[in-house]
Amino acid sequence: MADTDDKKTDTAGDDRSSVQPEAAAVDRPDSGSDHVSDGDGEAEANETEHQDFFSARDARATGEHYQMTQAEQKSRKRRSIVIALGIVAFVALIYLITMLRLAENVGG
Amino acid sequence: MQPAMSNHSADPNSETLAFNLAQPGDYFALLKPRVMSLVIFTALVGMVAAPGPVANWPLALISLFAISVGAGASGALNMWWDSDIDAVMSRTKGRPIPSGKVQRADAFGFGLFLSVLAVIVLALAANYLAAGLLAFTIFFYAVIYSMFLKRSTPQNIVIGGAAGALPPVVGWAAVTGTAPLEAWLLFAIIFFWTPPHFWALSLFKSEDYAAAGIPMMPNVKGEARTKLEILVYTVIVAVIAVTPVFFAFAGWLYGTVAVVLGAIFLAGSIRLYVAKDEAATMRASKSLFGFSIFYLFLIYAALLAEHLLGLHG
Repeated sequence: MADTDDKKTDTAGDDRSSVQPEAAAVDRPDSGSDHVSDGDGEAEANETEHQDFFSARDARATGEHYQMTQAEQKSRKRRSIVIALGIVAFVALIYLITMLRLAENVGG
Repeated sequence: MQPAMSNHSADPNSETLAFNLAQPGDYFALLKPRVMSLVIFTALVGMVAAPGPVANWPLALISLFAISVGAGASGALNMWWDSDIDAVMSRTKGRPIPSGKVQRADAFGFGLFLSVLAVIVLALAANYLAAGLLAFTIFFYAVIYSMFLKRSTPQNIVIGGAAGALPPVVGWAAVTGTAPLEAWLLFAIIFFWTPPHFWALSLFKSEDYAAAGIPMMPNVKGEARTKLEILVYTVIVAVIAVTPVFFAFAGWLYGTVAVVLGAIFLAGSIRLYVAKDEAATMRASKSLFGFSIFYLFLIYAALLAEHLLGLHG
């Protein structure tokens, strides 16, 4: 399984190197500008720093807030709509089951 | 529009904050829709093949929906657990977690939530036996197969095949409240069909499985042993598939289809068994894999058609 883990880490590392600087620019204007202007090499070197900054634990401790991009807000809205529809459908389903059960018992 | 990956952490085990661009469709993909469709079909056959007419079709359809959601939920839990090996295999690396579209923790919560919901709905719409069997199916697939068997033994898909074989029993139990021998014959057909189906796949995807460290039969016991075991299981499934005729819940149409398709399935296994060089083995295994899907679909379709047309009596 060591082979598997190596490959997984490599894949994640490649992706992070192209992802995190962009996210940093959105999230942390005071320090993100340095990272954005850096090349890929430095972004990789700063990987650990980014990971620390973006860890959920740190975010809670400092009370910092992440400003979502438009695309993220749009995605969240879509997910929220589907969750709302799902809840409505679930309530309707339980109501339907109750009615069908009642009808069955009354009929039987 | 940013690329889909641009704001995602692609490391499935990462604890970094998610910059979540996941769409509802990504969550739907976690449910393994193609597997769900097969579950819906086999559970429907279980319902229709059960003795007597289905007493309440609306409740039966709601039960079918709950069974499919339960199957999908177990698929989401499987993707949560296997995200590391999914990222390595060409067949699975595009799945929502390894591709970075959905976070591991989200997939786990989603799968667990839907599992509970599906079992509750089935208990309300059908009965406790069906709900219990569905809960067991989810547990068996997500815990016994995914967490223990898959990475530890070449018999993983033989034992784990029980999870995929249970939906017709759940369907039968949902409309009758019982799970007699006849229902378990439907289980046995899928159970013994699973090894030749997956081992045929693993013969031409063995490098993928080896890279992921999954001990599939060809990687552990070798190609020759795999071919032999495929042949043995094909003989068993071809024989078992005919037995419903002797238990009076299948008729001549089903019997004919089962015999003819069983003979073709067996011929494909023999062709694979005698294949000498690698190219012939690849051809025969791909052909057998494709036919195995066709086989299961057709014999279940024959049973369904017989019952819907009233030909089984």
